[in-house]
Amino acid sequence: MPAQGSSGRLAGVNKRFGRGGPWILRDIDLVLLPGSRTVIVGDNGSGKSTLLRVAAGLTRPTSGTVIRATEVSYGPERLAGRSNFTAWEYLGHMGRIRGLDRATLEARRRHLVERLGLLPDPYTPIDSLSRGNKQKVVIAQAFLAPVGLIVLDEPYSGLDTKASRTLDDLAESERAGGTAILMSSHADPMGPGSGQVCRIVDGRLTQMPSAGGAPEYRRIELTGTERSCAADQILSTAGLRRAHLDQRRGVLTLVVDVPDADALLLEAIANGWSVTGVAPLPAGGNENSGESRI
Amino acid sequence: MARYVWCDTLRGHGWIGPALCFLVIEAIICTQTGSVVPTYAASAAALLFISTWVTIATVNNEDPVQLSITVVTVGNVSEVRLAKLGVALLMGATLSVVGIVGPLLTTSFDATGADVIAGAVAQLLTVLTGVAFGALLSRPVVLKKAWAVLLGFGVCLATVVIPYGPPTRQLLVLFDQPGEFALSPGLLFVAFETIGITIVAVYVSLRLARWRG
Repeated sequence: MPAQGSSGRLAGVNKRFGRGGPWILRDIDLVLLPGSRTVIVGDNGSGKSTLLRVAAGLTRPTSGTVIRATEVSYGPERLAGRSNFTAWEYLGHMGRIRGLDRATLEARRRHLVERLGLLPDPYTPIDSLSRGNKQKVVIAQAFLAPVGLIVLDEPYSGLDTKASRTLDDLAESERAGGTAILMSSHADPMGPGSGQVCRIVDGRLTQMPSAGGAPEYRRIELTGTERSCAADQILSTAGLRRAHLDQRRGVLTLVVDVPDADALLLEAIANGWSVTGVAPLPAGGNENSGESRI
Repeated sequence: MARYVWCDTLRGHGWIGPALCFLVIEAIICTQTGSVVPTYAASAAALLFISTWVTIATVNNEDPVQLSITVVTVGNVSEVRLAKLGVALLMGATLSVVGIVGPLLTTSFDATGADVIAGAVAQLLTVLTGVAFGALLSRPVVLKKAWAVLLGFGVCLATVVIPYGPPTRQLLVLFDQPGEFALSPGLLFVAFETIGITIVAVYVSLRLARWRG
């Protein structure tokens, strides 16, 4: 089911393999907003990969609802098995399947292999590449074409520092274009750009405070008419820092604490608003300045 | 998508075993003389096994991790599976060309146009049945290679030896009857039956593949 107003949403998702198997995921609720970055952290075997596979549409949940963007790209933890292509050929095939025209595909794959520093060269069979370079191929195919949601399973594992930084840059660039990033990690991510961090324990997801204790905000832009869309409930949502209504354009701009952004988004959609933009607002910014409350 | 699957399958070399096996069978059965009809019948029966093998090899060719990328990129597991089955059908059809033309080129069989048409139809029908069986015996429906081989051999053998077993046994019975049957109602019936079996088998395999994720 395609997502409306968000790049993906998991509601009440439960997953277990087989009828008598243990529950891998329990009551997972997760909203992936356009331009957001969500990191799932947890121990080995905690269900991170299963959650990502469910979000990417590869694994059906035992119960619950999964709604995702029409175009999704997925990067598994690593290409462990046999591949019959060179990195260059493989990216070419994936790009063509994505519908990229020849010129765009050539430019995009060259840009990605150069930025990620694929060694010894992109014309080497994938089977002959080192683990880190195979990981770069996985990442390159995930960023080949613009999509609504990018799902990456342990993308930093095996990457050198330079490639890790490049991955961060690529993710930021896609986020700026409105793509939601969902990734998993063994370690808690550091820094203000980490986005929403959720820990998975015993199959349950809990949201972590943002890195360094500094608050992060989300700027949300909604469109609708006062006649058809109620604003009262939205304006009473916890975590709302600022609201501004442009009556002429029918645009309601909100700044909200990151942990409360999902609830506000759901409330807005339920009240008939259309979400036209969601963007991260850096910590320590202007969350309380400028515009007035309604 | 089809281009990717075709390139991946060709480079995967999984098709070489069944293709060589079929060529060996052809070399053996093409030593007969007389009417070409019994040779075509034997080729059709062999193609059932070979086509099942080729289909399993084609669908299982891609590494599961790489397959997960392909499925998300395409956006639909059924589309990926159908592309693989299409490639398997194309490979089986290519082998059936060898099965039809081979006997005419290598030995001095007596062959009429009707014999060639009947042979081609019969071989394409068994190729189609092999694709249907292969769809049900490949990942993620049957995960273990040993089970796939065992079940594939058993099912193919059953359709050859069980009386009225569709479609192979029925085709062999038709070939055994005197006279031309290129456009006979019997062959038409087997054709419809085979297409029906294939549609049901492919549909079930697509549902199971989606269900098993």
